Amino acid sequence: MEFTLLAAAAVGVAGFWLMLRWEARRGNAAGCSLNLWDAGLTAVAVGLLVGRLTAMLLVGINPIADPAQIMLVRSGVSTAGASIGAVLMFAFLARRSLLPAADAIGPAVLAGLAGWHVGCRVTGSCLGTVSSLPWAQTLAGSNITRHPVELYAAGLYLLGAVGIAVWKQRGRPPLGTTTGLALVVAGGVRLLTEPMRISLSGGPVWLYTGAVAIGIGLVISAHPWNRTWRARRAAGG
Amino acid sequence: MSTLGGMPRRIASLLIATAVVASACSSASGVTPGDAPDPVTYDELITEISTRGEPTVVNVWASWCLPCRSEAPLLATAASTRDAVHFIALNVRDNPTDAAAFIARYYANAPMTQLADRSGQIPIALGGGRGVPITFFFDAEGSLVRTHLGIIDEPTLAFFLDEIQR
Repeated sequence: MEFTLLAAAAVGVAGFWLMLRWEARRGNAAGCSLNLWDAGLTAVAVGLLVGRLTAMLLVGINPIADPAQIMLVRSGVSTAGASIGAVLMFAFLARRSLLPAADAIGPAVLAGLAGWHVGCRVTGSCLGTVSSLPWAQTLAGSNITRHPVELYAAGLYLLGAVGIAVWKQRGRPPLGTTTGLALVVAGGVRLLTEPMRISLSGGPVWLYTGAVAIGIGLVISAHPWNRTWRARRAAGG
Repeated sequence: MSTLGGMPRRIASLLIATAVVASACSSASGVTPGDAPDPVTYDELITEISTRGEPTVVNVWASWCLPCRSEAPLLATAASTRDAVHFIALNVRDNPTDAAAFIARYYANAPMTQLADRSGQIPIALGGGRGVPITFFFDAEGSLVRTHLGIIDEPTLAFFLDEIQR
């Protein structure tokens, strides 16, 4: 793994840890017996492995025939594979109290994503499409000004993380609402910034759209008026 | 582990099934060696890059290099999809038979110019050093714009291609 990638990962983990600590003092994990730090890191590690294996299979490299290549994370990790792998691993670890655990970890995951994107930019890469805006940046040795797209993403993720955490502490939202909002922010930020990213094949827009759709579904199903409506319907009223 | 009930057996079954499916998808064996890459000198390579009039990517590789195998499918895809960019695969410090097998496996259908520098001096002369893989990016005028040492990933390759195409 290249050190720049390790540095970005370290900043991401630091963001995750800081938000967990900040929230823990405000009782974010009430009703949740899961160790969120351990579960989060395990989910990330498994997600990384699944993402790497998916990327290898997609380009036609057989992990069984060439297992050493699994370690060459720098040559590609599938975003979709990693995201789905991490979510499934977390769901397995938190299977006894999934929604309370997901509500508790949601803002910290967004903070971790913010850290990852900041790290990507700080290590000197990850600029976006050409731009002439005043804050556009250039890569060392180049005179082409570009969108600092990773900083846009990091700012939006951080805003979402802090906003949801503060709202959660003040409003005591219904179970599942925090998870739903976190999914909307996670997918929505990528959808917003995708047009400014440079890619050979395009990002997994279906994954980001799916996250937003599932998030909206969770928020709606958790809302009190929806529960009242369902209770009335079940009662025949 | 006892709390997981029959999980170990299920995991073992899943792993075996995965191995069977992955083996079925394997393309590791049975590669027919093709032509070995043509030898090239530093001057010939620079002339090729500067007179062509289009952006050029020179990827330095060797068949014994694991990261080179890892990034080869990405480069082959990029060469097939970026018609406006000339891709040169420069094989270094390798024997012709192994190089030919590598080309047959990874670059058989990729529109890339296959060249060889047995001494490995060209990447050093270009300022990239002795390691592999290295990827050099030249603009349409033949000026070296960027040198990437080590494995290149998809976003980085896409970014540098965008830089040399402007």
